Amino acid sequence: MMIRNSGLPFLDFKTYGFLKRLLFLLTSYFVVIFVLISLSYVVVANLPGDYYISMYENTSTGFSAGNADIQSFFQKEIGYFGYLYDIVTFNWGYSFLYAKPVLQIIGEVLPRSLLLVVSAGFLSLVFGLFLGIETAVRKSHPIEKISVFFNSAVDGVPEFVVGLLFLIIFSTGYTPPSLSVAEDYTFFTIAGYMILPVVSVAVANIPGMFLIARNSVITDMVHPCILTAKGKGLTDFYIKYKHLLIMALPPVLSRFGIRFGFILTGALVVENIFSFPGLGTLFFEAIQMRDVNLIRGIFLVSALFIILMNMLADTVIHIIYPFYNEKRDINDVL
Amino acid sequence: MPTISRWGEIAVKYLSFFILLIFLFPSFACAENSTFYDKVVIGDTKGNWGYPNPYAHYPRGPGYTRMSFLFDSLLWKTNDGIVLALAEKWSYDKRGKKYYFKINDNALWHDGRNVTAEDVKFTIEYYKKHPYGWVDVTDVKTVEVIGENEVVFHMARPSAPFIPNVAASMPILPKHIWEHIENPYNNIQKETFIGSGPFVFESSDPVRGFYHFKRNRNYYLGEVIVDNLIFSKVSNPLIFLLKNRIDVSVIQPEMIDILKKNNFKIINSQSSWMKKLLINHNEPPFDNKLFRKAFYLCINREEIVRQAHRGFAEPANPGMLPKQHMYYCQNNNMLNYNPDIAKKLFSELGYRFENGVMLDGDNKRIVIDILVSDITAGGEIGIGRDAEILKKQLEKMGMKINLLHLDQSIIDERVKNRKFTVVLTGHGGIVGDPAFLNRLILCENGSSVNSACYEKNDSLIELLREQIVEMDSNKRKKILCQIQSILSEDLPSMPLYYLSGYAAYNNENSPAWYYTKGGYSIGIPLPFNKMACVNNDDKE
Repeated sequence: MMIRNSGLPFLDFKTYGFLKRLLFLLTSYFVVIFVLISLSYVVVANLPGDYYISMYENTSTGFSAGNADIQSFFQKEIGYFGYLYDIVTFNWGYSFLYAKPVLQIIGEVLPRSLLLVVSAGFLSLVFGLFLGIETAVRKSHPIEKISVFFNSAVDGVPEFVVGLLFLIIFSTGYTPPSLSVAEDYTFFTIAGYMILPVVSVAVANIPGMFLIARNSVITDMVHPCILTAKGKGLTDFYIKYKHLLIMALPPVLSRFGIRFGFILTGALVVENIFSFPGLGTLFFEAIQMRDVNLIRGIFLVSALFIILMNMLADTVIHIIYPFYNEKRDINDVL
Repeated sequence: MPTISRWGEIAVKYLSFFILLIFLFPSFACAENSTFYDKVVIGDTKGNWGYPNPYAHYPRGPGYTRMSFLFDSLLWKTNDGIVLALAEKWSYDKRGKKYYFKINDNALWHDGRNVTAEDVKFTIEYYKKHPYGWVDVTDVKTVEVIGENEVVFHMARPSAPFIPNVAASMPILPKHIWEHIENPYNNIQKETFIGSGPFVFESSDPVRGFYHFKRNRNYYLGEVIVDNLIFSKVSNPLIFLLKNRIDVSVIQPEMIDILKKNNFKIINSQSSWMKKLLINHNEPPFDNKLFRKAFYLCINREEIVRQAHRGFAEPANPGMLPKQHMYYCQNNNMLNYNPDIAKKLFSELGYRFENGVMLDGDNKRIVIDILVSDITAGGEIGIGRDAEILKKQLEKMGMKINLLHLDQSIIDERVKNRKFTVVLTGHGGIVGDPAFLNRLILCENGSSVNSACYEKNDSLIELLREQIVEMDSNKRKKILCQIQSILSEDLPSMPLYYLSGYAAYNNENSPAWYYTKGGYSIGIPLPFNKMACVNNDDKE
């Protein structure tokens, strides 16, 4: 293959391709983030009602309604450009509900939500892959039929339904989880309280992973390299969890990246069911009381994490299959 | 494996992202370590009610309650009526329009300083400068300190609700702390939680709905019998009560039976929450009071109570005040369900009924839009069947009813801008001093969005103005009787039913909580009266 000059004497074609791709990536992420920020402004600015009305006017106790001093404290409009400037300078405003800067509140709560989402996502990924591989190699076995049927059925069930079912089933025996009632946070209290929310979110997401992993393994099984591996006398376990796993990963990971947004939003709802003090509970309350800065903050942070997880999934695929991108890069450049 | 440039790409890609994200986490949740001995945990399904100081608590009953455990007022309300708190003596001079209070010599702030008359004077001045949403001090003209611990309030006008709504509600602020605070709203510095109440602030985390107060060992009114008082958010009070994870909680009526079986003590409040139809008086046909009357007669309140609330509610009186209210008046004009009289009234107004369809003078069908809010007792959201039953009842008369379920904030905004015909909504605040009638009928500063804004009847306005300056409670009751009969004649808003509050507590692990008659402070229908935690036998 002939290697062409990039046209710029000081750049070899690889660096040129790399820079071009990087520029493209950065621009597209910049555009997406800009659109998100604008969206968060427009949507929230057009919500009817405001914090002052929700909190101080809709009350028959107290005389606070119509009080100009309180009103002027809680009603502030900064305008679109002011908002853009504030976001870029990381001055994300102040949450009226919690009397603290939005970023500080989110910083306190985000680790808990992330722990929930990431562990649930990881669990669903691991179990989905494991089930997918194990059933794919047992084609036409009753176990395969049962698990395909079961997973297809559960695939359509949203997280909050699973959560509610768990709450009903376990509330009679196991102490239902609520992190709020724990006075101190140790590893064990957190782990104990998180079991049900994590399992609810994970269970709802396992079928998606399972079905894709299984399909992918079924197609890969006829690949000559598997035949070669078998011929070499490698053990079943080695073939399944080295060769087949790596071959099945890219589609599963891409789906995981796309699904991550749904896992996150699903977790936000599940949090409310279990009174889990995370972003979802916060978001629900912020919308109800029209705490605009907090709504925008949570919206942006969740969106940024969804983008981040997509990037992560993307990168893992590239690490596993470097030649995918090498090829694409060469085609781009040539 | 990826090439060097691939790694470079990955690194730069992530670096740019983490630069964005790194600013997002200035701090992480921190664990708190306290040893708990004898603790009482109060469960709450909502959890967050702001921070427990006067300027940061939510202007709702539970928010005020959390603050009231830390801050004492001059007087307080229990089932014995108005009792002494920071004031150990008080009197009213009718001729001079002034109140005299003698401050308890033993009263201390949580930081050890004495509570003085200067603090009381400062509090009033501070609330005048920075209005506190819960207490209206505009009736107090000046405050005069006449001795080390004696203070006189000079009133601008006589005020009937002054004792319950100001003296027994207004948290007294420590001057040495608040005089340095320029902007009090949502100020949550640690020292702003220093009060003189039976409990000392320990920690609060509204995100978790968690509040922890410790016993005040030097409380001037007696021994505080709860070492650690904790408010905690729970998803389902029933399960948490049965598991002994919480000791007391407000509950739903359907939980009563099972909790009774498990030896929980069940208490209930008087009717404390009202569902009603809010009417726009500026728009025909509801600008006509005969139409309103006929419309109200089409509504079967008892059926709504029976079908939508399984009897755990009480049909409302057109005069607004519930039966257990101390100023309630027997009223013969109850306007109970009567479709025949309603039809007759509608015919007199020029409406016709053809094949079960109600037509107006221009042969057009009567169509009424009702905005529906799903709010229920305690400000919670509960999808009820009220609206559907109401619609069925009204359509039986031949009207066309369009129900429009909306978010509470959207309804509030539309009501505020008077962009509605009829709203099905509800609110609490109907057990305290009847000054709330003015806020619920007139349209002035301090009226809530639940106000009927009805100012077409001059004699009603005059009576309302009169009732809050009448200091003689017998005379006041007469005025309020007149008001109630005018209300059931004019129907500025249409009361549908009242709900009561229920609570359950564990007899062994918690003090005897009680619903205060007439509600504590300005009429809060909650069982968490702080005096339940104070043993003041030796003082009396």
